[in-house]
Amino acid sequence: MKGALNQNAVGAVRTRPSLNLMKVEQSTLTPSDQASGIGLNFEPIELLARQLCNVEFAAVCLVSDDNHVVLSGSAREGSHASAAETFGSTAIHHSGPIQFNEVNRAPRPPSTSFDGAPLFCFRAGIPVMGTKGVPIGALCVFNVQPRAKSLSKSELQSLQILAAQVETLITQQQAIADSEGRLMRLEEQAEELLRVAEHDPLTALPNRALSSARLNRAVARSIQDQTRFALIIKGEGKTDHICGLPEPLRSGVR
Amino acid sequence: MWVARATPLGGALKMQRLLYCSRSLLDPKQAAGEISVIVSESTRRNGARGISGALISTNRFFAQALEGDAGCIDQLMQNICRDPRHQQVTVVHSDNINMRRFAGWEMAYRGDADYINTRIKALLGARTSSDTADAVQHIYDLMVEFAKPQPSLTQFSALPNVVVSP
Repeated sequence: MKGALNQNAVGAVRTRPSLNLMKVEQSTLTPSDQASGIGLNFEPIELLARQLCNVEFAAVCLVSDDNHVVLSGSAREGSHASAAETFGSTAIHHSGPIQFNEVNRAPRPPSTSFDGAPLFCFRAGIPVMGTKGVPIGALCVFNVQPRAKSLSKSELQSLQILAAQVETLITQQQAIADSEGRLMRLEEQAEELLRVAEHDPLTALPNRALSSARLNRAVARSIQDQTRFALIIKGEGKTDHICGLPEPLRSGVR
Repeated sequence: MWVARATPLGGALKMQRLLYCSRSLLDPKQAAGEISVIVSESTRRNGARGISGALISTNRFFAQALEGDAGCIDQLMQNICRDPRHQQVTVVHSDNINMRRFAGWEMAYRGDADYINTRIKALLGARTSSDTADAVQHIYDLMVEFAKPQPSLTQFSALPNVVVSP
């Protein structure tokens, strides 16, 4: 590979409608981004696509949760990115395989690509469909120079198989994101249940259950470690109503 | 607390939790070796039968919690009652359960703390189950706490102060 596309880029590049590119570090990806497949490593698929179709560039374009097109893999950075994104948007919303091979047009210099016009004389794409039948991305291949021939039927079939692999990876990622989301909600519910169980609903102060649990812990540790502990209870009135205090401890209350 | 520690029981078997106390007949000088044998046997035997629980052993008393299939526990209790290393075996609590409190079988405590001796002696001397309900619960709670990994001093001191609601 040569040219402006950076194979070693870390993170995805999000393209806004203005075509300004913005780096998104992996750690800043939202759960919905991750569910969209953003952050997945598609480089092995892109490498295969380049080799099978004998082209210079390949990119997976994804639709993010907020309907932006996000480039992944080898097209993340560089002056080719905006042109790849432009074609990716077209390929995503096309009903099937799409390819252009402009044999009679000379390639434009990179500086002219920011107007969104195609930089590549050859470009082809396969839409990636989600489980709900909605397009969620596209696998695209590009060449700066026109190809001698358009992609053959077998090359398009290979590209379709790779697009199906992209879909599988995204589906698995969505399943993982769903499971993580459910697990997180369950953990939150468990924490909330525990909080409710251990606190007075009116005052939000710790209740007898929590004080008993802490006291049991202190008692157990003092027995195991053969150490002493102090329990300080501040309040007015008699001490014989103290909740959850084991009888042997009550006699020690001063 | 209960919710966080509980483990669902599998299958449709009738599950039971039981706590018994007994007086030790072990010679205190040889108790450590005997207890090691008991722990080794119990870990292997109870694990194979799906029985969880915990054992407290002092120089004077035993207290053991057992959880699992009611039939297995019944069979185990018959063996326990015949064991010559203790006497006055008294089941102080038994109930059907849906959730375990103990993930496995563990030696919860081995020592001779007066606090433990006093509570087990009281359980052995109690006449009705209503007299022992709080004490039984306290022994279960202590067993769970004993079985937990010990927090470091930093973790322990970092606990927020408890202010009990009036």
